[in-house]
Amino acid sequence: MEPIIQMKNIQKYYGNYHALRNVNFNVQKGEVVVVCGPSGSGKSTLIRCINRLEDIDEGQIIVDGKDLYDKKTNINKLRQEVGMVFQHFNLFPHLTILENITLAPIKVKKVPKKEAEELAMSLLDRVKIPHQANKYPSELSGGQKQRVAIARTLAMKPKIILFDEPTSALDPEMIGEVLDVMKELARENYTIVCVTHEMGFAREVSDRIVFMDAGEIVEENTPEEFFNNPKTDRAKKFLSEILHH
Amino acid sequence: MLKNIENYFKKHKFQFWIFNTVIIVTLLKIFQMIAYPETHFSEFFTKDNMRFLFFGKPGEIGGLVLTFILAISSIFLSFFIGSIFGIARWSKIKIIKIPAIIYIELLRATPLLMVIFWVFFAIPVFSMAFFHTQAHVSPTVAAIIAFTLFTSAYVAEIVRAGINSIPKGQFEAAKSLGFTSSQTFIHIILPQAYRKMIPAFVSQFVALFKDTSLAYTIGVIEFFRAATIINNRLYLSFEIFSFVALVYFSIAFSMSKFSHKLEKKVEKQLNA
Amino acid sequence: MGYEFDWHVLIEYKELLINGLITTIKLSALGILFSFIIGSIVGIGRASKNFWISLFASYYVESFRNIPLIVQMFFIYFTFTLSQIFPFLNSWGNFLHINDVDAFFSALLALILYTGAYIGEVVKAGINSIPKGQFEAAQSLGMNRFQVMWYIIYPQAVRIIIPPLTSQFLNLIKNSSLAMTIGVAELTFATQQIDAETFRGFEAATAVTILYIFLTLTTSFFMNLIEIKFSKGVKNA
Repeated sequence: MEPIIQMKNIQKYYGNYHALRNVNFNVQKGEVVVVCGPSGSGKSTLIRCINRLEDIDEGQIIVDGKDLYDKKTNINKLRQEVGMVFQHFNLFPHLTILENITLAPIKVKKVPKKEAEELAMSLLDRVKIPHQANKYPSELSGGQKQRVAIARTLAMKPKIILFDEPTSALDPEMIGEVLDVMKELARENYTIVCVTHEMGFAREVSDRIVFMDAGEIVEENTPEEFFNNPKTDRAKKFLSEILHH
Repeated sequence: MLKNIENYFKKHKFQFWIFNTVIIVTLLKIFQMIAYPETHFSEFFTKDNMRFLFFGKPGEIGGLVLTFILAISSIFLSFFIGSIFGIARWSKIKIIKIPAIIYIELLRATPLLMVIFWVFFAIPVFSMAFFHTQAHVSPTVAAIIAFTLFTSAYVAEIVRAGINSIPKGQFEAAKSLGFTSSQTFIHIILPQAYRKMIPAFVSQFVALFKDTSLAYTIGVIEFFRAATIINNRLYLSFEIFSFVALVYFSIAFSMSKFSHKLEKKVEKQLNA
Repeated sequence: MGYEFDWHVLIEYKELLINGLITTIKLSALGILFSFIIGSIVGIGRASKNFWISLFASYYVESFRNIPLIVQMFFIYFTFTLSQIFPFLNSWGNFLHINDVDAFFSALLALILYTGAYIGEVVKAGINSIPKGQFEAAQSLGMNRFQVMWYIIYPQAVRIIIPPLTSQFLNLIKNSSLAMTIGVAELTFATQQIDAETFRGFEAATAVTILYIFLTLTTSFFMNLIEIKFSKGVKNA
């Protein structure tokens, strides 16, 4: 089976800074991959290339069989298949929670309003905050906002979900409720690529850990192997710093 | 390929401006060919007309020179008057603050044209009321008074904002060193505040420069009125007013760009 | 006091003043509406990531900002006969009870173009102040650039820019006074008329100034109400 995400020989520069070096990265359908590494290692940049929020300078990216840089590829259509959950939630402050979730299905997928609202309510049920439907984002806590953000992404029924440090901006007591939702999704059919520092989550649900440093993929392995038997010095250093916090 | 053009122009600013000028001239030419096919620029561009436009009638000061004189004298005077009102506006003492607020808000709510008329009408009235003589000032002096009053209100707001932008810590440090209020202002606050206000002052000057054209209404023969006088004779409004627009644009635009450069320089200095 | 104030003049000429006020209101209301529309289009263009769109929008902004409004009015009024080029202006003029269609619409057009340029800059600043994450979230949901701007960015920007926008609207009301130079019988024109006939320019100017203050205060008040109504939701999410 062709991997659902293929990234070949990627190079990316910010001016003179070499942000991604010779990156080759594939993800199989249904796989749950965690990308970790020190700050500035390029992990956020990597996943933001998958839905073209960032552009690469060299290389090829194929998502769900379509080349991202082929002129015939409709990037907006493709983005419907690739959902993203952001570190700072990015909910739309001028819309209610319900509107936040139904806006894209109605305007982009042309789903009728009633159907979209029913789907939205069932998703809010799923993330355990149906009573917040008519409130505004500013009235919710961080953990609730992130769960709404996940519901908003799920409303588009994507095949792939990208998580960019989803719990890094949350107060500690709210991290658990978001991780619970993510763990459920990991057990379902979604293909997930998640950038995170939450190693417990990584160990529990991921199929593969990818370790990046200074723009390169340094080590890739199953969680057991990576945590118990890191092969490279840089990975060992990273693990010792993170686990002895 | 398009991204390369963008990057090229970012690095080669001079070529960028040439490119802009070419495109704009082309667009203007197309507009002219559609809107006004037969132009008579040669009738307009005579030595006499140009001398009148830029320097006024022989023996008098007028034209663009007078425009600059109006703008420069007004901005100079309004700098002082505006500073006084600006500091008064900033002050916490009600007796000082309230008259300043009234002065500033009244002038800012009034169209400049009305201020010009009001000054023009008010001078004989006040001279009659207080000195029992009917004073007559030249339109030019009346214009300068009007521009100064008007601009001083805006300068006052700039000064107030400038003083407000100085961190409280500066006042506190000065106080703890034993400075009095006025010493604090003169030696610590105002020097910093005025540096920050320079871009806003230049921008105000550019606006004033454009507004000098309103002196036309009370008979001052500055650049714009000179143009209307020529137009009353030649009836070549397209040629004349497009030239006038071009001159104002060139001067105002260059001054704005200069102000941007100044702003960047000041920012660098203050953040050093 | 050596000068005798004669405030009765104002009552004698109250029709002139009221008609002037109404014309000023017509100019201002139409001017505010259309300059806001043009300013929004130009501002969105200025904020665009597309180099060429942003460049052409900046041509508009720089051209109309740096040429005095009175020059623009004169250029349009004396060079073109708007009612001939755009005959529909005649019926609009009838509908609005406007006597001198050419002068009115020349002044209005210049006001719209000039103020639109300033509003363009205000809108651009507003759009640029929206956090990048809003744009990214909308894009990642599959919205195209138009949808992102229309449903997410622009609605938020409009709420943020209400104060500087109000400032531009007030400027427009004050700038409408320039229409008198091409013969539009608005408020400032009334001042001059009264002075020409009675030499009581001072009284007239005082009354007209009060009327302008009334107009600007009312507009500020309404814009404040609008801001309060829309302030829901601008807080960070």
